[in-house]
Amino acid sequence: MSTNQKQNDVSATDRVSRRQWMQDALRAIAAGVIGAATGLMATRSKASTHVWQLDPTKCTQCGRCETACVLKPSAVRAVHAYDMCGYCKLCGGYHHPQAKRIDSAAENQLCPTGAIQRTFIENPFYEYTIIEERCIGCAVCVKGCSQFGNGSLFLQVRHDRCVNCNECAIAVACPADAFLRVPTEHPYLLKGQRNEDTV
Amino acid sequence: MKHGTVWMVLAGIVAFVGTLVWQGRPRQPAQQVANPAQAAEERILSYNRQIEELSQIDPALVLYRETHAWTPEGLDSVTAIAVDDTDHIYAGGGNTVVIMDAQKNMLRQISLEDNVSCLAVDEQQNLYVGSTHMVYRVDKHATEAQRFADLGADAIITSIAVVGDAVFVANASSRTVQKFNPDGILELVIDGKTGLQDTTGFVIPSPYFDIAPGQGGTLWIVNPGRHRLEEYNLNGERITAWPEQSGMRVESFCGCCNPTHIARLGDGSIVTSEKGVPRIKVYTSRGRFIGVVATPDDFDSHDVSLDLAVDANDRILVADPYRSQIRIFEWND
Repeated sequence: MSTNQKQNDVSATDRVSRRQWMQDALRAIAAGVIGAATGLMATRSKASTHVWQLDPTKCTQCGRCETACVLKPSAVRAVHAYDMCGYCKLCGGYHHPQAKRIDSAAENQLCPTGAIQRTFIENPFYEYTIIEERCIGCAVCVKGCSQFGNGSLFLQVRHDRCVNCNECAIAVACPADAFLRVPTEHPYLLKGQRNEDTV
Repeated sequence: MKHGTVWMVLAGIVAFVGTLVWQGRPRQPAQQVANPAQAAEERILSYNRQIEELSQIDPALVLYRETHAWTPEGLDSVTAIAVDDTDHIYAGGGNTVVIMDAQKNMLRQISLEDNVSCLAVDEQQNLYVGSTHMVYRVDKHATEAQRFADLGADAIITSIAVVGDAVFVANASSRTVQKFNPDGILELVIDGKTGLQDTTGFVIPSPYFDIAPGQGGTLWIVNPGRHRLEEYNLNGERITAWPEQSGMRVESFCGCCNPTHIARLGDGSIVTSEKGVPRIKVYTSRGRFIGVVATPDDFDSHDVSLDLAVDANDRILVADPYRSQIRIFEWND
């Protein structure tokens, strides 16, 4: 056998070996991807059985929902239970306690971001709507509504924003121990008779 | 090259370099942004300070002092109170009413099917009890309640007042006061509307809608959404209303729905209680502010509904559900 023939045989062996290696590598990658996907799905499904929520009956309106959340602005927003609202002209959740006038002027509004819209219904009733894009979850309106009104304004973790951390930073900071895990099937703890679908 | 040209070029170079140096100078940092956590905390503290300011009352205005406080035997909570002409005290809480003499000794106990929302006693010591949508009557010495009037499943009975032989019942759901004869027959509905002058009538944002007998056979009705007391004759015609304006000062009413409860003193003056900034005050029958009975410092929670009654000695009895007590305030000599 000449030297050239030997080299050709080795090359042929090498080519087969490389092809085999490539096949093995692809199999390994595919197996890895499947394994990782399975693991991810398993993890996700485990995490998604429960989500964080705020019990409005325990909330003390301390203001930490606004600042402790890892999201800026916070995943906690104000929610309005219309069926509990008195539609008051002078609203404790909308107006400063020492408002000079009962109107919609900025200096008379309690919300620091103007996130509550006041709409005239009929004398003397007004409807109050949370503008979610502006709400920062500071709880000042909730405090005012609880103090003077029916408590129809309250805070909730909004699950279209919440990233569902393993350890919720707001839950850690909450002085009232108002945060808890709730099943994903019932992710909101609502006041009044409001349906979760309407949130 | 001329000297002028040289100087001009030099000046240009100096100006250019100077501009570069000026622009490249170290600068003061932009105005420091407040710590968001501190700002949020300050926002809440600021609100609390405003409420505290509202709660501050000049001690010179406080004309009464607390002389008695006790939890009635047989009651876990005290949400409703009434006093008859013999100074027997009727207190309700849960689904129970207890009747005591002036020395706090229990005389009778009455149980109902539903929770007690309000109480009233007529001149013959017959007791009327409001309970969700039903009015019960308990005859003198009886221990069982008889159905007097059913206002319908949607009704929310918040107060009862007996004027002569007419029984008035306030229904927060329909925003009306209904007048019944002694047999429980509906005779009149008062909606507070006075033609074109007032087409809205009673504004009831929450289930606080109190009534009380006035002096000389009239009826006082609270219009809480308007922060107003209105006096009616027995035909449902409005006689007077005050105050003209709501406000944050001590002599005014503020919040969503105040006053929550009223009672009448012997001379016709009106005692009022409020929630939000809990306080009890006295006004003349024409609305002039006389003074304060109890300040916010006298109560443990801002969210209390303080039912009122007045005995024959003009002592003011307060049902304090937060403490589960009957508290008595007397004129401070």
